[in-house]
Amino acid sequence: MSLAIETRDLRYRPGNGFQISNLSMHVPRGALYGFLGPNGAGKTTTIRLLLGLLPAQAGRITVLGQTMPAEHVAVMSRTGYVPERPHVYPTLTVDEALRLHAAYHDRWDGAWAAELLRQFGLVGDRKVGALSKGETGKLMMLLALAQQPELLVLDEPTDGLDPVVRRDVLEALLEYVSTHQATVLISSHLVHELERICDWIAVMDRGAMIAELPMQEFKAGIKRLSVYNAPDQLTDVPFTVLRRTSFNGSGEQWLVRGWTDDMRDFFPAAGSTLREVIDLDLEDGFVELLRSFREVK
Amino acid sequence: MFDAGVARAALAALALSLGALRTGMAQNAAEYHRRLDSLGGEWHAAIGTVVKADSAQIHALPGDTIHAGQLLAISDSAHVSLARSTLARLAPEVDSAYGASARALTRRPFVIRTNERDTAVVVTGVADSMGVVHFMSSDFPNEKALTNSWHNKLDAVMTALSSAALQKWLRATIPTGTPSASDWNSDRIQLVLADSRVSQTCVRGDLTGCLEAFSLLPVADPAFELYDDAGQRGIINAHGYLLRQSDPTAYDACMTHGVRAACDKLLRSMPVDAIPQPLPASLRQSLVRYALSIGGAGAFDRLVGTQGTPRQQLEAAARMPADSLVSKWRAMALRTRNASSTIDVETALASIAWAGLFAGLSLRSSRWR
Amino acid sequence: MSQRPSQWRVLLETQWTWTRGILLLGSIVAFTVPLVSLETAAGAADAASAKEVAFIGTMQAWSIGYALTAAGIGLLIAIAAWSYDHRLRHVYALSLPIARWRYVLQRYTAGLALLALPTLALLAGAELAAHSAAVPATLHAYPLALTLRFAFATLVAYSIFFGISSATARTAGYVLGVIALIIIAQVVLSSAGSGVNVIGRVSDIVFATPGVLAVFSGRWTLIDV
Repeated sequence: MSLAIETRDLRYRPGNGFQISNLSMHVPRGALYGFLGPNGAGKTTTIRLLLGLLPAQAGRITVLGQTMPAEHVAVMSRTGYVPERPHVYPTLTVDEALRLHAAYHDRWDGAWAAELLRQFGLVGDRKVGALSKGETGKLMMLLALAQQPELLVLDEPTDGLDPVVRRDVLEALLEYVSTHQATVLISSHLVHELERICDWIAVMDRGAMIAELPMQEFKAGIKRLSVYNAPDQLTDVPFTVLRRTSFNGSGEQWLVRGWTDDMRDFFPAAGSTLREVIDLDLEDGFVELLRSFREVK
Repeated sequence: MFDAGVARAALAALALSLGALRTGMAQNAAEYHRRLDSLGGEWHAAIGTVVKADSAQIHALPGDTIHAGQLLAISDSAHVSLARSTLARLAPEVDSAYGASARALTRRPFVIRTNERDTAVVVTGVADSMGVVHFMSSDFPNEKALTNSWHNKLDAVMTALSSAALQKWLRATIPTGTPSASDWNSDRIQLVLADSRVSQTCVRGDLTGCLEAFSLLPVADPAFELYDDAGQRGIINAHGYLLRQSDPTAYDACMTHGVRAACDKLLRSMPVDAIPQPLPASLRQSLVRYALSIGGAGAFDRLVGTQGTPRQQLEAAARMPADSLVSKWRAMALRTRNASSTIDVETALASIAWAGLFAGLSLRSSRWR
Repeated sequence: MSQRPSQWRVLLETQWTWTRGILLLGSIVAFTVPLVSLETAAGAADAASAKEVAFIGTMQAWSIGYALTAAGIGLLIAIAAWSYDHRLRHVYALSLPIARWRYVLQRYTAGLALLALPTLALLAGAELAAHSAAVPATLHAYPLALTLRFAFATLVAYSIFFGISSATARTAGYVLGVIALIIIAQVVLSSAGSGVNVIGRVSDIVFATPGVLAVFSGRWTLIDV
């Protein structure tokens, strides 16, 4: 599998108690890679490390086959970035912001930028600082897309946007990805949004990567099971039990990972009864995953 | 070079004389002159003492004699080579600058010897026919420094050939050589910024003002004819230490209340010699140098050989009337326009260097924020 | 938008939008100072007997006006060059595909180009003043020399503050720390009864050629002998 982003044993400690330790990340080329995590998990810091905006204290970062931050000029010429907070100079007009961005990006597509400007309903002579939150979000996505990058790194790009704007922005993104086969790393805490568009998912919490796998695998493998007469000690379990909670005396609910239907035979052999297998959506899975991770810690 | 003891003696003489001036407070010119002459006598006596002492030391040294044109030098063995090369640099100028008068130099050898108290410098001077060394100084033992020093000594020796009247008028040495653009620029600045009335009228084109400013026209009452009210107050202020004590009432009335009569009284109480010359001595030197440069061959001989007033001597040297000479000099001085002193090359280069340094540091600023 | 504009030109336009107010004000002041100084010098000369001396003295008294104008413009343009980058934590600039030093160089030279405006305004004002009838015939005007000095002074002020502004907060802290140390040393020495004048010595070094601020001290006169 060819990787657009790869980190190995990445370490960063800004000095405020928070730290990223031994972070390994693998974003396949052409993937829509959802980067999930609660606020403060370290998603933005990780992205800033990936793009050479922060210096890692240890570890190795490769982006589009080039080493960061040593080769940041080459990498940034192939990477579109939408940061968490608006980064465009607020005193410029939209047109001036586009001119500035165009000047620094060799593959800038002026015609498409104009088309997106019209499509997003942005007015060229308005000051960036006077734009609404939604308009600012659209502008930043426009800037990132019109430079025709191979990799898009989007840090909470739709955070705070209303549903209509969010849909406009995501549609433009998906259209670009489909036509250019670009890789997208999109960080968000809006799980449903990522569930809809991503084919890979990574979950981060407290500076550590706790899951990284294809979306289908993630969604399919996490189940809640209703089990009766379960033994206290489990042996030879073919799936991972993330959590056990009791209910109605002899009943228990298990949160499991790596579940497939052919594993039902395990329960009779263990002297217990499986009453129900409940599918969890991504959000449930995400929440349960976090909870179990924190309990283990 | 005077040693500390002689300097102290001279200062003591000066202080005593000032004390006498202060206690006596003679208010007439004759009295002032008498006391100044007395002071001058003491000063020259003090200098004579040290010169003779040094002269004895110099003659006690075995010396090599070096010739170059009309110039002569007596050197101790350590500085023969330096003396020879310095004379070689000076000799070519001598004939063209001083003409036949340069023959006098054959009787006035330069002397140079090691300074036993400070080996970083050498002692040099000019000996007279009696063997007494004059114009002694300590100089760095290199050709450039020695050439400058001996050039000045040459000017002093040759000035001594001129009449007492010319020396009194000039109050400095007779300079030689063609004035440079820098010399003219300096002259222009001094002329324009001289604050006497006549110097200002000279700047504005009044030739009589120029002649008066150079003291080439007789002036009966210099304080009143050469200076306006502000200039007169400046003179009173410059002599305030004495005038305030001699006539405090008049001084206060003049300086505090601007009473004209009081100022006049104070000015009249001052000796003529105490009234400053309207132009600095350097401008008189400039005029003399200009006269010599346009006078051509034999100009110096005519200057020192002509009997009469300084005006007549200048006219003889320049071979033109004083009016024309001063007029031409004024035109030359005011025509010169050098670059402004507002910015100099060193400051400009330093600015560029500092700006480059800070720009360079900026370029090295970290990308980590 | 079919043709990409040059990076330097766009940065110049950007900095122009940030600094045009300062530049306009600075240019007006730079244009006005020579004229006002001439006016006051002419007034002083009228009332004096030695007109040239009074004239030059008054012109020189305006040195501080030129020096402050140059320092102020240099300072404000340098700070404005980085102001929005600081507010946005340099994210935009650092995410551009350009080496840091090249980006800083572009910003520096763009700011330098903008400094030409007040400098030209000063030249215009100085030339206008130089041709005024109020200048005594015996004196000369040096509008170009004055403008050169002004240009060098703004260059130095701009470069110093650009350097400090482009540095990290920590570096700026070091600079302030050194200044504070000098002041503290002076206070301690003075209170201990020492006659050592630390601030005076530092000032001598800084303001005398080839000191970093030498261009600000000395003569700034438009009209001279």
